[in-house]
Formats: sequence, structure tokens, C-alpha cells
Amino acid sequence: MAVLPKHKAQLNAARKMATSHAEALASYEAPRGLQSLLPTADARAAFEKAGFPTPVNEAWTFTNLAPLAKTNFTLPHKGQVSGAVIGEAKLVRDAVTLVFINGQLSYDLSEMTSLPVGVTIAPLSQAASMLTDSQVAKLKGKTTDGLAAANTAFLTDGYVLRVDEGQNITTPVELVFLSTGGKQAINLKTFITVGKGSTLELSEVYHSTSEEAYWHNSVTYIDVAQNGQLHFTRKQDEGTEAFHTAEVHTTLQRDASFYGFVANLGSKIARTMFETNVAGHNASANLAGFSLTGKGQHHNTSTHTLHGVEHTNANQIFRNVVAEGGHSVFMGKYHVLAEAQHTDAAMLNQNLLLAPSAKADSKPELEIYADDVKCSHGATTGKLDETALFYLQARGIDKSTAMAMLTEGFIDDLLNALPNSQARERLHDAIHRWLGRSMSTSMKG
Amino acid sequence: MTELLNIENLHARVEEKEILKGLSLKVNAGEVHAIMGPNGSGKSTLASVLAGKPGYEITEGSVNFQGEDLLEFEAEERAQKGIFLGFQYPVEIPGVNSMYFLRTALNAQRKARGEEELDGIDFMDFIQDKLELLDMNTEFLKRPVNVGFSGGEKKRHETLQMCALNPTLALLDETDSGLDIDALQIVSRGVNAMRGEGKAIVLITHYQRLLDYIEPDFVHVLKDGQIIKSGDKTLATELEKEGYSGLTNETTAA
Ligand SMILES: Nc1ncnc2c1ncn2[C@@H]1O[C@H](COP(=O)(O)OP(=O)(O)OP(=O)(O)O)[C@@H](O)[C@H]1O
Ligand SMILES: [Mg+2]
Repeated sequence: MAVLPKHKAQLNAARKMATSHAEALASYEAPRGLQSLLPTADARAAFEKAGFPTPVNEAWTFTNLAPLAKTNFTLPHKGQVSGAVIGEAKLVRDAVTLVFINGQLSYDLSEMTSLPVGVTIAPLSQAASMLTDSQVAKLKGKTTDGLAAANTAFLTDGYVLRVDEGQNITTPVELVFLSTGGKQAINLKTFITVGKGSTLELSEVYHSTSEEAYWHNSVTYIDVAQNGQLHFTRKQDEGTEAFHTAEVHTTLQRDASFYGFVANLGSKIARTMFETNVAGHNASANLAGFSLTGKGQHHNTSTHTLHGVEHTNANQIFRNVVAEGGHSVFMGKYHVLAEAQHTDAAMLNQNLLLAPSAKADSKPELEIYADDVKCSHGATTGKLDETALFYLQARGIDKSTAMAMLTEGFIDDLLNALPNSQARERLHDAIHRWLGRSMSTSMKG
Repeated sequence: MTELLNIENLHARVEEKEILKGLSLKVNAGEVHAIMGPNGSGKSTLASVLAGKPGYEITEGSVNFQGEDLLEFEAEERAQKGIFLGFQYPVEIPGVNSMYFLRTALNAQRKARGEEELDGIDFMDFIQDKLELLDMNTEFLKRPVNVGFSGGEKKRHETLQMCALNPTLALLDETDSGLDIDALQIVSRGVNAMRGEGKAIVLITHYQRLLDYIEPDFVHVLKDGQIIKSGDKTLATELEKEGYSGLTNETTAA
């Protein structure tokens, strides 16, 4: 691709912003337990070279990170949060829970006594010895991606979770990441391993007690070994001025299944990238989720799924609801290599626009080199059905409630993909509250 | 007799096309009226205009319901005031559970009338005998609104909603169309159950056989946007035999 002068200017600006971001965080020191592993200086140089991603980069065509890049962030500080706030944020009430405040584990707020046998979990800063060789390689590895480089260069902490072989874990595990605002840049790195034949329900919740700007930048590596199964649910309900960028890299071995779910409600700009390598026969990668995008918000859900061997499956369904002045993006790609015959992969993105000024972009893609596969993709974008709206109103239901009911109906059945009924209820309530809020404002407006 | 509804010289258009062309009709409390007429004559349009469906322009005339100008109100307000429209084509609403829908509707109306809202358990008690009356079971209510319902089930569902919401004025737009005799009897049972003092029913139908089960006080012929003839129930039998083609506008001449 020829670099146009306009692009060059953008890239230079993005680099400059990376440099000033790095300068503001110059007093950064890596967590003690990771200092010998983290290539802090190299990563910082890589970040400044790459800069913040710009729309020149195809993956960022629809998502402009300039508001993030222009913010002057600080290093994370200690924060105080009450147990009640955690209770509000949680998806699964009776899960084993680790609570991170501003990127640091709070033992007081965490609940680990019911941690089942066969599961080990610890903050990354104290768990270097738990990492496998390939995980260490990922930690030390070079990257040319600006956000990943920043993540390494200014790593706050993260967690390491391992499920041993042959463990059917019935107690769900939940991580709560809470920020108290104050322009902090919080960088999280996580390594998850589900052993051979093991199962786990894991959820992550991102919340805030503040309406100030801050940045949660997370990179997660997941390995699901042969015949293992992982449900991984992410609820992003950050403060309205927050930035949230997340990459989830998953590798699936033979017969492994992955069920990823993402709920995007909060943040000013949030992007979640699921990068999945379906590396073993009969492995299946299932992704689902929704976003509720209101005024001044931008939600981007991206997926890249690589099928490298015969007989693998993938399924994706994302439903996005956009209210007045919001913008949602879905970008998904199935990349099927020549040897990946009999890949069975379906992708669907459905968008619902609640107002004329609401915007949804959708880019589902197939890149297929094998000739005997069953792959499909589809995208629809529409408004609420006027006749359905009238049907509800004709029964005495006011317009904003009717709109909320139809919108809820649009996403609600997605929640059936969640294995945990508490999580389903919590998300259902969150959807309900969001609709209540956004319908009453859209009716006034 | 208390007058419930008074439509005078109503003209309505949709997308620049005039459909109701000076329609007048009076309905008193306690009465059952049947409206018959050829396809495309404006029967559903009349029902939609009365129920407050958006998209119609009223260019002339008035509609008075219990002493108020009905046309002033939003669709939901009209429902709350006691108007019920049984849809000719009930709408399928994927993702919205029938029970939740009906309870929300009932509670919206109760709230508007200053009555206590019903919780899930009270609602089940409340709806039980209405389900029985219509030979329906609770499984119905667990499904999304009208999704995958057969034609007859949809009409029964409309009737159930009517029984639950207990309107003052029910406008039933071809609730009998496409029903077999059993279903027709069941639906008629529902309609007759809500018949009563202070209430009125307007049945839009193509078939005289409905009127064997629900006996009307008046039968009207709607043609080309006007009521051109009114009579008692014998008119329906005549119409079914002779058709509408011989009829000309008698009311405007009068
Ligand atoms: N949205 C619309 N745009 C244009 N024309 C319309 C619209 N809705 C209705 N019409 C027309 O208005 C006329 C009356 O329609 P309406 O549905 O009221 O008839 P009807 O008497 O109920 O007929 P049927 O017996 O077939 O149900 C028809 O010619 C129809 O095509
Ligand atoms: Mg009709």
C-alpha cells in the first residue's frame, strides 16, 4: 500500500502522541516479580515507533482513537472501593472472585476461600513461576502493535489462571476490574490455561466508580487444551468517559470448545478484539455478544478466527443496539487455510438503530483457501418494527416502554448462550436499566 | 342510552390517498354493531384510525368517545381509555414473551386508571379462567408474541387479550376470518363474555356465520369509505346472498 502524505501525517501525529504518553509515564517501574521478564524498554520503543493505531490501519477504519491518544494519563494509584460497589458490579454472585482496583489485586475485597481444587489463580506480578515456556515467550515477545506494546511497556498487573487436567470445575470464577478514574492508564495482562479435558466458567467485569477519563488496556492469552471447555464472559460497563481496549488471544487444541461472550455497555470508546486460533481437529470457537451504545459512545467488537486444520467449527452472533448519537462497529473475519477442509463457520451481525443519528458499521469477511467448507456470514441493520410498536401501544403500553420491550426482545435470547443463570439475570437487568435510561432521554430529545 | 362513540363525517387519507370519505357512525353502550363491506372499502382503515395508528391524516370530521375528542390521543392513551383493537393481522414479535407482554399491557392500563399493578403470581391467577374460557393453556403464554402461532391461535390470542384488558369498546377486525367452526365458537364465547352494559362491540366481518354466534343489534355496509346502508341482522343474510354490488349510497342521499 502506498503511503499517502495524509496518512504519513496521521502516523507522525500518532507517534508523537505515543511519545508524550510515554513521557508522562516516565517514572514507571515494572512490578518487581516481572522485572527480569518484561522487555520494558524495548516495548516502550516499539510503542513510540508504532504510535496509537489510526484509521489508516484497516482494523481501525471505523474507530478513531484520537480522544484516547490525546488524553494525558498518569500511572495507576491506590484506590478505595466499598464491598457494595463490587456487589453491584458482579455478574456471578457466588463465584470465586478476585477484585483488582486500578489494576492491583485487593485481597480484602476478593473472595478466594471457595477456590476449588484443581484451579490455581494469582496476580501475574506474583505468578511468574506459574507461566509455561510459551507464556513466558509471549510476555517477552516483540510486537509491532502500538496498544500491545504499550501494554507491555507500562504493565500494571493481571492474572494467571490454570485449571489442571481432567477437572470439571463447577464453581465459577470471576475477576472484577474496577477503576476509580483519575486519568489512570491501567495495563493488564492475563494468561489462562484450561487443562486437558477440563471445564471452567470464567467471567470478567470492568467497572468504575468514576465518570472521569481513564484507560483499561488489557491483553489476554487463553489456551484450551485437548477436549477442554471454557466459557469466558466479559462485561464492559466502564464509566462514560473511560477508554477500554482489549485483545483476547485464544488457542484451541483438538476437541476443545471456547464460548466467548461480550457485553459492551460503558466507556466512551471500547474495542474488544477476539483473535482465535482454532488449531485442533473438531475444536469449536463460539462467540456471541451485544453492545448498547448511547450518545457519544463508540463500541467496536472485532473478531479474527483462524482455521488451520480439518474439521473445525465456529459460530458468531453479535447484536448491537445504537441509540441517538452512538456508533457501533462489528468487524469479523474467518480465515480458512487450504488444509482446513470441512470447516463449518457461521457469522451473523445484527444491528438495531434507535434513532436517525445512530450509526452502525458492519464488516463481516471470509477469507477462504480450502474448497470444501461451509462458511457463511451475514449482517443486517434496521430500525424497530413500526407495526410491532403500534401493536404494543394499542394495548396501552407507552411508546418508550414499547421501544424498550422490542429492543430487549432483540438481544435477550442471546443471553441463553450464558451458562450461568445469575449472569443472565444480571445482564438482563443491565439491559433493562440501560433501555429505561436511553428511552426516556430519546423520548425527551 | 349512553352514547359511547360518535363518528361524524370522517375523512381520512393515507399517503395522499383518501380512504374514508365522510363516514358517520354512532355506537351506544350495550350495543353490538357489525360492519361488512367489500375488500379495500376502508374497514381496517376505520379501525386503525380509531385505535390511533400513526400514518393517517384526518382531513375532516370528528370522533367522539365518551365525551372526549378521541383523535387528540396517542394510541396507548386510547387503549387506556378503554378502546381495544383486535387486529386483522396480529403482529409477530420475536423475543417478547406473551405473558410478559400481556402483563405489561394490563399493568399499564391499571396504572393509568390508578389501580394496583399485578405481580407475576397475581397475574397468573387473574389470567387462568380467561385461558380456560378460550380453551388455551399457559404454554401459549410462554411463547414469543404470535411467533409461530397458527392463524386460529393468533385470533384466539387477540380474544384473550381482549378478555384480559376488558375494554369499553372492542373493535374486532375480522377476528373470525380463517377460523374453523370450533375456533369460531371459542372466540365467540370470549366476545359474548365481555358483552355487557356500558360496553360496546364493533365487529368487522365478511361472514354472516359469525353473526349466528354473536348477535348484532345493527349491521352496516361500508363501501368506498362510507357507511352506505344500515339495518338489523337480517341485512347480513341479505348481503351474503346478494353481494354488495347492487348497493348504492343511501345514507348520503338521505
Ligand atoms: N399504507 C397504505 N398506503 C396506501 N394505501 C393503503 C394503505 N393502507 C391501506 N391502503 C388502501 O386503502 C384501502 C382500504 O384498505 P383497508 O385495509 O381499510 O380495507 P378493508 O376494507 O379492511 O379490506 P379487507 O376486507 O380486504 O380487509 C385499500 O385500497 C388499501 O389498498
Ligand atoms: Mg381489513
